Amino acid sequence: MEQISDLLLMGVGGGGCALIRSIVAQANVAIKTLGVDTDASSRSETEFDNCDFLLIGGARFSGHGTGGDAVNGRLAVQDDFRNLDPYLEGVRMVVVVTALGAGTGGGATPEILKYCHECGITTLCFATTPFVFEGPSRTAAALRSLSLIESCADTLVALPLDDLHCCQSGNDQLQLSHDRVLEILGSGISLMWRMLCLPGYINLDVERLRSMVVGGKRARLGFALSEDVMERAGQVVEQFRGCKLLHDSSGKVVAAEALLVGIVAGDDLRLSEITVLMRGIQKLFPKSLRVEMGTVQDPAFNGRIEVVLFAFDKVLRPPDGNALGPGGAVAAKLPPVADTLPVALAPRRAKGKSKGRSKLSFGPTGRGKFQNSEPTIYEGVDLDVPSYIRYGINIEK
Amino acid sequence: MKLDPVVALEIGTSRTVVCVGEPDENGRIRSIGIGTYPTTGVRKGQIFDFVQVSNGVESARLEAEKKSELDIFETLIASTGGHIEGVPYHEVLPIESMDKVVSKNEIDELDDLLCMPPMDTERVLLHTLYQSYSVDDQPGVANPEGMHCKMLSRSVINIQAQKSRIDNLKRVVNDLKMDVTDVVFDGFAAARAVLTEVQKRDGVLLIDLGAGTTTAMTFYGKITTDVFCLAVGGDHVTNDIASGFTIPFNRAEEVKRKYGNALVNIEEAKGRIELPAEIGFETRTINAKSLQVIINARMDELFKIIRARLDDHGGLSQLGAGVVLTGGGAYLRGVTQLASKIFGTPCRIGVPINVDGFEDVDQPASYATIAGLIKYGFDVNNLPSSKSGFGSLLKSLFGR
Repeated sequence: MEQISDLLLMGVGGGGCALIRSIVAQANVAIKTLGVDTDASSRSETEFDNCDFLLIGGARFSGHGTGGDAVNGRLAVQDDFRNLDPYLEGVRMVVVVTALGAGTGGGATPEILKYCHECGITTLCFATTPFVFEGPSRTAAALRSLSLIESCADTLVALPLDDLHCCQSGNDQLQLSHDRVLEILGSGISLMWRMLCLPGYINLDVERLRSMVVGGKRARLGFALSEDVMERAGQVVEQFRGCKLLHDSSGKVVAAEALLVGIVAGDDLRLSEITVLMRGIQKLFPKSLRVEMGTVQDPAFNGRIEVVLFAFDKVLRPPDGNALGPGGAVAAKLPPVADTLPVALAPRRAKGKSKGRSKLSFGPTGRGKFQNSEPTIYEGVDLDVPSYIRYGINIEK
Repeated sequence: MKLDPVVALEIGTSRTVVCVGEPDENGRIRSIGIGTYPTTGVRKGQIFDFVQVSNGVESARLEAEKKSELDIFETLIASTGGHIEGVPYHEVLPIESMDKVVSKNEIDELDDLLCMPPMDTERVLLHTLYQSYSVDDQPGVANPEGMHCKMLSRSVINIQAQKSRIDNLKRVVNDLKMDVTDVVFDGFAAARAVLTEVQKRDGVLLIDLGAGTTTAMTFYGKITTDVFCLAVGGDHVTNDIASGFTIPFNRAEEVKRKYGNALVNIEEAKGRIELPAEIGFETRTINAKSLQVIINARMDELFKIIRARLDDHGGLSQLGAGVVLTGGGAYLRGVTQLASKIFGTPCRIGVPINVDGFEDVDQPASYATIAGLIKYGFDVNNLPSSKSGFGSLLKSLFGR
């Protein structure tokens, strides 16, 4: 099967390397893969076809890992940035998977994302956060890393393990639970790859995925499957309705602005099923402005349907396709990424701060002396247009 | 040792100024010759008629040469415009030594890294304004030498400008057979002329209200905490008046200077203002209240944009020394009261205090930039390693 050479799946840290193994095992397609860790024992997780392993911080930690210290994870990758270059050659999009908590995943991931960003590579990051029972310090460390990742990645998909765990039976043995969590996550991400690689009547291509990822900032991942031949589309919609990964803290389905839906089924997939499925999903996300979908038909899935759903908080259409090239205009215009320990993210402007103020440009009207000069646009407002006009103040002459 | 005179040039939107300064017997810097000429060919701080600008610079130079009795061959230039941005940048340096103690070499290495930010090739770096260090997770460290940590980090504000615009400025000067010794951001120069170290320590907002652009800089703990440029200035107020009453731009400028007020004053706003006849312009009257409303709408908006910026960066609570206004716009009636109301702190007009010779000029606050340029020139010349050029000395001059 042909490998998509401009896409790279990268697992960072021990958890990330285990995840890519699970993803590749389920995808059944050729994926260019790289595992990155400070712990040399993770190499064994990456011993499969098309997968490379990069040990970072070898000179510093002698392959023994970071001891759970995120600062060490960051130092390790800073030591070995140049070693990443050969793997990134010709790559246009990197999908990074990592398990946050401490150590390499939390420390190295933001640095790697920042480096990719500087190379003009689009980044989509899947990051799991620890179970609550793992204690507040690991959760706090994960959340610190998460805010850094959000500022460095084009799109971040945060996956709380507690929410993933809710998708399965609570009585499973620990190892089984762990494997099942990996399987769910692997299924979701591998489905995305299948959509890109395998033929279907409705194709999702890499550029469409890239355009969604570049514009998105945060995304949610939902995954559902059914084997009920008659009611499977409706069941999948119901599973999404109850999927905790798609819910916000108040328990409501998130208000996503864009959706990416991938459907994998056998040759028995019916058009009516796609209609039911897409209508049901769009009802769950009534505010979504853009919906992209793809289908994959694989005889091995006869009688079965699997659906993966990405719900993006914010997606803007790119100005044009050419602008998305490595190091291109879009990449250059992205806000500067943070690379620091103390991250001082600028507070976001409160929404509706300029409520009541016209956002419309008055064009040449009233620009007078500035008619032929470069306009002064501030937050979408043409400040060359007289203020009293923009505020609708009547002037008695 | 007597220092050489320093020459500074400011090509403003409304006026071109050339100034020669030299130190007096007490070591104070003094302006010894100022040449001014009304600028034509610049809009919103940007050159749109190269020849007109060149003629203006030449006229101002001749006047300054005559007054100072010196020939001018080189000059500092002030740069302004909406293309100038204060871009925060951060670097981290892992401490490699076995004992993890920060050495002087590592501090220098970090500061050198900060001087080389990733930049668009169309942009040029004017200044690097250093902030305090962070030692691991501990921010606000003034001098980390000797401290124990894994990571040393520091932030800067890089003042960047559009390369082509700076090149055009230099070309104007070079075509007049003069060399450019350095290009300096105008707000940065104004701050050097009008602010004291105590004000910078306690927290101050400097707003330079030019004809074409407005520059805002905030200082706290003797560090520059934010830099903001907007291509909106006094000309926008004039344009609003011209548009509101359908009168020519030059008449609107006269009205603004004579009757303008940034606040709507109930007493003054009564009645009508008579505009005398001129060739091609009949006598007419305009509503006094409307004039104030138009000006108030523009100035209120401008200050609120700056206030929102301060809000975003948490700087509003760090204005212990209030607000200082410079530039010609500072002399608009009611503008200090309006600023005081919007920023919730006292506001005053800032005149050059660190350079002498501007006491008797009309509207001294409008000379803040040129005075600051002179001060900058002498500060750089006074440094022991000044042979290595202006740019490389910024770190020692402004490394706070």
